[in-house]
Amino acid sequence: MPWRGLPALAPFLWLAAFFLFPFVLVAKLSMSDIALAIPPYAPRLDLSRGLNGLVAFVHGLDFDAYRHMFEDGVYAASYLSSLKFAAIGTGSLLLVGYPMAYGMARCPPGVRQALLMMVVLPFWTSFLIRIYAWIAILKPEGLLNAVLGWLGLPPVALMDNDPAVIIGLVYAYLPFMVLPLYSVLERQDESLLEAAADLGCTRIETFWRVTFPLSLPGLAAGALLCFIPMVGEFVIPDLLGGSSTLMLGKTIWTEFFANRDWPAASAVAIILLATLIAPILIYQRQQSKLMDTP
Amino acid sequence: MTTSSRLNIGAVRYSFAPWEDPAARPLIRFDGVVKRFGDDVAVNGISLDIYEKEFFALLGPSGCGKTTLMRMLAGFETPDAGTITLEGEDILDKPAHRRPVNMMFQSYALFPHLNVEQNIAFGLKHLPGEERKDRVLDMLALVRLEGLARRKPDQLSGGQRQRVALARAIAPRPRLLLLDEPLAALDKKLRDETQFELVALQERLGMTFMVVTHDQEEAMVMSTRVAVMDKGQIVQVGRPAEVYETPNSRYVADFIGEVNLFEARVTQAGSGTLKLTGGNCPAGYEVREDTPIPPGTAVWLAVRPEKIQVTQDRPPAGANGMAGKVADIGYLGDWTTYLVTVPGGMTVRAARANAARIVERPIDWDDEVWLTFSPDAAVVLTS
Repeated sequence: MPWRGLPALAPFLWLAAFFLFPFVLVAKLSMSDIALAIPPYAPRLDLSRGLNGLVAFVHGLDFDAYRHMFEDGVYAASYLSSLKFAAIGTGSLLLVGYPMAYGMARCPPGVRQALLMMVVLPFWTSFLIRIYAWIAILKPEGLLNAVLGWLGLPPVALMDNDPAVIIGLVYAYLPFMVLPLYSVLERQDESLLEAAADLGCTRIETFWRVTFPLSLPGLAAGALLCFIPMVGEFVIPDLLGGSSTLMLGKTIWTEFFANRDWPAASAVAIILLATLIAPILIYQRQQSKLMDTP
Repeated sequence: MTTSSRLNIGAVRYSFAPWEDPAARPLIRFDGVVKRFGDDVAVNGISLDIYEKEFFALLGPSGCGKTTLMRMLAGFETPDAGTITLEGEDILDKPAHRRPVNMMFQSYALFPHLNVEQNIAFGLKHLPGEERKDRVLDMLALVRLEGLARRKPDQLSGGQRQRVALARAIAPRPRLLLLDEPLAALDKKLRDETQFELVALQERLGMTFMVVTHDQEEAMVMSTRVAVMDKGQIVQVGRPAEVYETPNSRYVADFIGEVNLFEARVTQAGSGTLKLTGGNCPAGYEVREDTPIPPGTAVWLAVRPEKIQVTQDRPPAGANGMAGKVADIGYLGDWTTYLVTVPGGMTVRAARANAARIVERPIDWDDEVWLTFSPDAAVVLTS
């Protein structure tokens, strides 16, 4: 039957409509030039002129936006700063998320479900509202400093600066770290731990020789699942970060809306995507490996 | 292994009986051990001695407490009452990782992230590098896995995984090796071979083995002594042949091997023989029995199928004979099993070794036959 393969096309159509097509648009934009027009770029494809129009359009494309990026140091700085934020964020998440996931996996099954629910629950409220709540907590005269003052401790400056961004990132991405870790830790065979104890390992040795190495696939999945979107994060640095906080998401927004430099914004977006392809592919491989092991 | 050395081992095994020597000190002693899980009593007051170099089998159906008993020895469960000592020393206050006892898990519990070599070396971290390497090589040779040292567990067959698990548990040279259903995951042919290999290995190493199994054949073939368990208690302990030929209860008779149980009542107790009557044998039974049982006592006669003869001729008067009709015949190749319906409606199982190559059956379905057994063949059970 020739129609049998048809349902398999659905994901491809979906990808084509909502990923490939917008991607081609952005790629085209990044090779355009800034212009005083509406929309503010040139060349524009005029299909009414037929093949000549297409030829003229292709001749009008260039890599000026990319060249501009390599010449102006602010883009490189923003790029490196984004990677730094994502790396520190991912590292902090590992330190916070691993003990949480481990503790959850060691709980009795009934309690586990409740804890899992509590990790996911914040997702049911608006992301923006939750970040605004952090402003209320972290601002100079906010909740945190009120508590510190009440305890007789000096106030801390954790608003409109880089540490505030890290706090926001750790908070927002915690479930993406905890859930994959929890799923590998939870299905770890109890008899392996008994075997390790039987062969002379204390609980700490058992953790480092058995539990931890066996949780590495979940750890890699969690780390990539957090790192990849963090690099392009916009809302958290915008709301919690200071004016000196440099992140690519903010840079794209500024180019697009403040400078009306659509080609530059698009070029930043394309470069961001290009550098994230490697970790995305690693993540994909990790996932398929996880699926293969029963 | 040659036939002669195996025979030799058999002879050695038979003379090995430290449990009959009052001066011998047990390696392991369970004393009044009780373990409850909530309202369930898994182990209900077990006292048991296991001696050095024994191959001891705990046999029983699932849920009888045999695994719990073993896990208490390994240190994975703590008894609610009673003591467990190893060479006279209480081991209950020692955590699992400090007990000189290793376990081979039913699931094998091989570490999936480590290769064969690393799995075997796992319990050897206290040894210096060179010695550890030598020990791993010895173990690999012992279980014939030299070529597979670098393989991961998921690249091994079931039989190979079983041998890695065995080598890993033996490598630290424990005082006692626990084997939890060691052959359950293997197919029949491999299981039969491995049974004998395990026995040979245990004798070569001079190590004490304790095996938990629900498979009576496994327990009979491998062990020096078998403990039959039921509902958290030990019902009978003895050599495999003792437990098979002189079961002390209907439970043991029924659990180990096949058995026919005839209801009977003692009519006359003489010197070494009992006369009994029962519904299945109107002429009455005569059975050899040394323990005196007063006349009038209701008892059970346990007779193994292979000890019952099936004949077409009427036996002489006075023999333990009953008439019956063949209801079914099961041809197993080496054995033929006859199911014979006798007066009272009971179906008796009789087995006959197919010693000669007879394709034609002298006895067929619905034939009228006679079943007889000698006075020595029956065991009189009062419980």
